[in-house]
Amino acid sequence: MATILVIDDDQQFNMMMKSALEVKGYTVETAFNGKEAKELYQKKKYDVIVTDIIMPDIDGYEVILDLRRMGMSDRTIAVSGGGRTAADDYLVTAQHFDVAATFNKPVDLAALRAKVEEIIQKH
Amino acid sequence: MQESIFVFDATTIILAILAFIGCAGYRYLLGLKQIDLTKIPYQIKNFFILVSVWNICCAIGTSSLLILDKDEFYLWYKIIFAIQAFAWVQIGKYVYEIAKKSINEDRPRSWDLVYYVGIGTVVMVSILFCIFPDAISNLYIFNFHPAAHYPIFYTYSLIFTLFVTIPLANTGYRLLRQLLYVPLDKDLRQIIIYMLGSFFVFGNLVYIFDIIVPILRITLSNGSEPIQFHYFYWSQFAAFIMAIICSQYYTSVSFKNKSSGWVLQKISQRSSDGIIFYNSEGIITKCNPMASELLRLAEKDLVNRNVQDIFPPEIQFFKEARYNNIKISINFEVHNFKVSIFKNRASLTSTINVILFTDLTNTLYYQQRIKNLNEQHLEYKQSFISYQERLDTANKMVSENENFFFTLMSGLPFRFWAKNEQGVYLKQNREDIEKRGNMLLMSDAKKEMSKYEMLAREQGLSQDFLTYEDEDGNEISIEEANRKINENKPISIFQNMFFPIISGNAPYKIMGMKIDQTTQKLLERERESLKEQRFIHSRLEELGTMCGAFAHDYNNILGAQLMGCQVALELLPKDVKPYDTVANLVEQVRIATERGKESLEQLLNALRQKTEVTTAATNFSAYMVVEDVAKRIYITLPSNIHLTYDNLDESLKIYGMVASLDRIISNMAKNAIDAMKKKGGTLKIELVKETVHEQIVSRFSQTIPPGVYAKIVIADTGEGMDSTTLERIFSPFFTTKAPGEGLGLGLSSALRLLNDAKAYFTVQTTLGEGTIFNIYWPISNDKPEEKWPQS
Repeated sequence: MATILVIDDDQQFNMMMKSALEVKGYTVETAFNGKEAKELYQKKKYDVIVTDIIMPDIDGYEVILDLRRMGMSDRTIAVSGGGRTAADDYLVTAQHFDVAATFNKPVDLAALRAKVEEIIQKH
Repeated sequence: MQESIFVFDATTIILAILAFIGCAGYRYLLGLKQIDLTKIPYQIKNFFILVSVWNICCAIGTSSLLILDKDEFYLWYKIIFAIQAFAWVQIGKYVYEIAKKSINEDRPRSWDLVYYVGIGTVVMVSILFCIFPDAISNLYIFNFHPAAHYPIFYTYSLIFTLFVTIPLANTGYRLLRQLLYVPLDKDLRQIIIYMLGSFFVFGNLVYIFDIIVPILRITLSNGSEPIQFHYFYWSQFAAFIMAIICSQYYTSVSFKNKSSGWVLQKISQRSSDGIIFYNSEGIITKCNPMASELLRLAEKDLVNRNVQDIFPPEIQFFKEARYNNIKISINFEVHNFKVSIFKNRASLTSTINVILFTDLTNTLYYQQRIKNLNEQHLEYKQSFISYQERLDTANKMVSENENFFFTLMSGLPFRFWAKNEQGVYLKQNREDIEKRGNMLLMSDAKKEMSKYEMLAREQGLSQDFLTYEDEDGNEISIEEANRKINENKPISIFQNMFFPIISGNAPYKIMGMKIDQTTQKLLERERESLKEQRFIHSRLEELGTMCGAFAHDYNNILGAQLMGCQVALELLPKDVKPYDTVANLVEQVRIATERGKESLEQLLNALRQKTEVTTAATNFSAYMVVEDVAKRIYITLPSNIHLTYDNLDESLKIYGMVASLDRIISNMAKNAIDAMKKKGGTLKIELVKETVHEQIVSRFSQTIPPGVYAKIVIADTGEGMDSTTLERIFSPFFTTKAPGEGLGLGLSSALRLLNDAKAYFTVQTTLGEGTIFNIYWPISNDKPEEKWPQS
């Protein structure tokens, strides 16, 4: 059974994401910031990692870069609620880090599930 | 037969009258007409009176013969003759008196007695003849009849002999004695000799012709024939000549002395030397004013004092000599005198001694004075020269100043002129003359003067104001000027100044200046407008940041809701009874959430659009923004970091958003400063024009196509970056900061903005040496699109 790590500092969103993926039968683990996530993905290899970008302490970019160094770029999905400034678009940035996919919040759940499934199938 | 007392003879008459005239005018005869009558000795006067009486009587008697019969009027002739005798009998006395005056000898009283007896005898004899004409002729003395004939002649001859000839002989004797035994001076000897000569003639020769010869003739003729002759004929004229000789020699010497005395007195009055006259006893008789002045003694104090009391004893007062340096104390002050002693004969008999003295002290004083004056003169001359030099120097300075002022005025890069109080142009520099022609010595009409000029001129207030002109040089209002600027039409902006030169009362002289400020003012306007743009942008950005944060949070919320609804619907068992109702409710919540999402997006889009419209890209001077940022950074710069931004190309214009450039440079500079925080260093910002000939390919940014760019260099001497950091920075966005703590290195937005502006960058970094960012910004162009590299 595929294992998915969901990283988001918004607890409610995190919980919803977890529920939405568990419904499809995946094992979902959660982290509420980059630091927790780092501990988790260094110990264990996840099939898919869904990460928010703007987070306290270690943010999504660092996670993404870390994962890239670990060769996990193609298993990473970046999700963002938009920039802190109107003009910023973090997902464009994330694309530059070779992530597998990016999603705007609120997330199109069907597309996200499809992408997760796609990544799992690829590997 | 009557005795012929007078004999008619024309010659005699003429001679007698001439002699009378001569006697009457004796002053002229003696050459003394200038002399006051009273100054002539009475002896001489009387002598001449006697001689003139004698002669006039002779003339009257002789000429009477023409009209009066000599026998009939015999008494008349006798009286005339008696008067004659009365005159000549006195001659002896006066001759003696004259001689006495010359030889200064007293005559014994006995001779006065002889004189009076002589007069008495003449009077008695004359009366006798008149009353008893024959008394004498009939006189017998011891049978001797001495005057039987010519009684009158004999009688008067006797009287003449006794009372004239004898005293005359006595006088002659005395003169001779004086001449022989007494040492006399030359003048006196001369007088005596001449007098003696005349006495000899008168006393001897004349006596022979007048008395002895007639007696002999009478005796020889023996009375047979009456002899006619002039009685005392020769004596009469000899007396006249004697009178002339005696008195002339006497007076010539004495008056000569007297007139020279007069001259001397005049001279002495005016002399600048002191002159003192004193007699043989040393008693002062006279002095001149200068003498009393020099001796500080009034004339009355000097006269009658002894000269020895005044002058020191080493002077020999009766010997002609000269003394230098005679010291005399006057008023307790020692004066040096030069003293000369002279002897001067005042009369025939006496001398006057003279002291001539000069105060050398005064001479020395005046010599000293002259010396002082000369020195003073020299001093004044030197002062004068020095004043002249100072004047020259001052003149030189003035002309230098003038020259300086003229050079300055000519060199001023704007129009300059000056007017005097009457409003006449006094100065105009070249710029002004070129602009409106030579106005020197002319004046503007009063109505042409601006209110600013009037204020400066009448109230002494400095004026500074701007005027605007269109391209044809016509003055326009500020509104029109603004319109033209916005329409991009050329205008000129001038700064005008009027300075009053305050001195005295109004109106004043004024200086005017007109400075072309077009470039500066337009630049100022540009700077202002850039500032405004940046301000608006920063406000919008703030709003954007706020809205962004809000959107971020809201998306999380909406995301959770949407996902919740979706998962809820999926998990809801379809076979449960109220499924439709619950599913419908969840669907409604989901739709509401979707609406919220749309509404949020609309808001964000509106905001984004607004920002983009307001901060549209323009052409602007890059250096203004760069310089502003540099200045802003400088204020907050840590002390261990230096900032240089000297190399800014002011001519470069670029196209883009002002705020973008501002932020890009700000963020990059901040990054550089962070890198130097610990060790310190130098931050260098440059703006140069760079032409890229071949495309630049770099690892971290897009490929830069060839073209002309404004290159902005931001270089630090900080720690540099290792490849990991570099990768993180240029991957391409990177931050380690949590929300609310800012954007970390701020490069994310910087790079995005670069992207938006179609600008590029390169980075060079060396660990321990520093980092250089080069930004390549497109140069502005009338048609910027054509030049812009299409990527």
